[in-house]
Amino acid sequence: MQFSPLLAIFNPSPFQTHSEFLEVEGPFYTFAHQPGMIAFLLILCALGSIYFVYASFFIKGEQAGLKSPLALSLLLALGLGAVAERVYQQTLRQSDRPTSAVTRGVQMRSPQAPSPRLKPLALLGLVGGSAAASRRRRSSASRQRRIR
Amino acid sequence: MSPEAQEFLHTFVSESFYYWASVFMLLIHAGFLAYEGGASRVKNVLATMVKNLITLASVGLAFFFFGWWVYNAFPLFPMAGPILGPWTNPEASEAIKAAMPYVEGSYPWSSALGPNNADHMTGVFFFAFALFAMTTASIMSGALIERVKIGAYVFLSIILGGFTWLVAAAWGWNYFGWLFAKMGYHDFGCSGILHATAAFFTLGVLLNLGPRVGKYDPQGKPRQIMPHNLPLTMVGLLLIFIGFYAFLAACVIFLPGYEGETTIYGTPVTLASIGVSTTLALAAGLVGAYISAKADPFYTISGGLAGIISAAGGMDIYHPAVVMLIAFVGAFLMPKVAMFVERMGVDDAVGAIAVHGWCGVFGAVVVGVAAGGFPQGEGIPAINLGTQILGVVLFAGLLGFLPGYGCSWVMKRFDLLRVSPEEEVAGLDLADLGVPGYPEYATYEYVNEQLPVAQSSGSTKYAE
Repeated sequence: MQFSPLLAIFNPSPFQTHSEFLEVEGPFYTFAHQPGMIAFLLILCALGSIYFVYASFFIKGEQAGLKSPLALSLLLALGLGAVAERVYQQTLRQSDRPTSAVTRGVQMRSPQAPSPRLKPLALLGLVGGSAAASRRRRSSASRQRRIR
Repeated sequence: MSPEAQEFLHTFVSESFYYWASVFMLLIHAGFLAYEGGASRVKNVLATMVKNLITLASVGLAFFFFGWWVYNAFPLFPMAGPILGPWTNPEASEAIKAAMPYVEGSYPWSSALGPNNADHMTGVFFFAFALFAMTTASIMSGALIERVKIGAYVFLSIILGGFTWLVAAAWGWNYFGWLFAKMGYHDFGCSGILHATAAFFTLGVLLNLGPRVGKYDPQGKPRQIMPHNLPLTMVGLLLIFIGFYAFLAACVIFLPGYEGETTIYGTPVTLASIGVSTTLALAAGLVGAYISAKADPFYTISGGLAGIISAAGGMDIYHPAVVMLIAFVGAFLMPKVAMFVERMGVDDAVGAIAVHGWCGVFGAVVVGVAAGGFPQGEGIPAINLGTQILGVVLFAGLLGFLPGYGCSWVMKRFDLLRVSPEEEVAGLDLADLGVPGYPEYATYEYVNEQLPVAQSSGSTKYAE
């Protein structure tokens, strides 16, 4: 069973065959063939680390987290919906495509397909949206406290 | 040095590596013991720790008598062959022929498990897998504290640590396992195989066990039951971190005659990269949980473990940046999952379902995305999302939740699962063990019950 719906959207594997992988001399990690993706991910992690240092000055212990299970459920449902839609589209696309056309370093994408480099951003957006939502709730609550 | 001496040195290096990795894995249990003991209330601390300690006995013995055999006997069953045992004809197929020596080495009467200088490796792998099995059962231990009967826990730990997770490992964490060999499942550090199986087994048990007395108010809103010793809990988790370095190191295969390290799937890996990735997963996990839980100490330190579990599935091939992102996301969402579980009426005293269940599922599934398309051995499908999801459904549902719920349901029917309300209120230290964990502390019971009695009777026994 070969079912890799995200394979053609972004391809983490630098190898096309098992012999390439099993006999590798040198790096064999995800995106080893895409230095741009590695650079992007590293910048993202660096920004996250800087935010952590910044946030550590302001985060105080309080009752953590989830104010509304409904909000989390909606976020999860939206995320799952997006993945399901992508799986469906990708399955359709794969069924139209000859497998031999996929060669190393060459990925076939339909013209309508969004840039693969934006996909991790979309995932982060889900998390960021959740964080922003909870921040808004807290800000609103603290404003109400101040008003009182 | 003679060729024979060189060959033996190679064997000894492998033997020593797994031996010491397994010894360090025992720190996971020291950590769980401290973690759970700290998370319990004063009246339950000893019983909690003894229950955790007994895991070493219940699972260790079960693993010797049948668990090690289960791991070696079930890889082909039911999709690629029968359950392998003394009744199997080794010549029935090539796969059976290749797998049978391992099966024969796993019987309790096997000569491979006793002193035998013709086989240095079977015993040391038994040791490592026994520690994996004990870790699996320990995951359940903390969630059930303060109300489960010790006998019920012992029985459940044998089912989980000695059987169900080993079937999961046989299918997805064994070179002959059908889920790997036929479908390409990949789970280097057992995110789904061990953590998801254990956590969903625990969820099934918790549904029958019910919450602790006083955990929910009459309206069903959860009340916080504070750990009696949060610093002990934090030290415990630090020990668990150390143990997990060894756990993940023991997932690297280096055998006599090998020219390089491999995963259990036969693909390349380096011990060095496991060290880098475990460190980064720990760090990013702590950050994710710290931000998400607003510096809550319990969730923050659990975030380190959540990060490691989230990244463990593909740690052999993830770039460090990928490790950090996955660990962060897993740990960031972990506290929210824990609160969601609590609001659903499930009293998981240590957040095991969030840390091990959510992160185990996430860590296994995300391999299909973040490492999707990676080839594996010859004739073995590449890593793919569909198989990762299927694996998680099998582990969490079929081998986790269903047996956990079923076994605990039967025990509940026979009143074997939970202590009486009176015992629970008095505390399991006195009810189960007959001694308090802190005999010299001015506990609530001492101040309100024992001291007035002593004063009124003129006794100096307690007043001193």
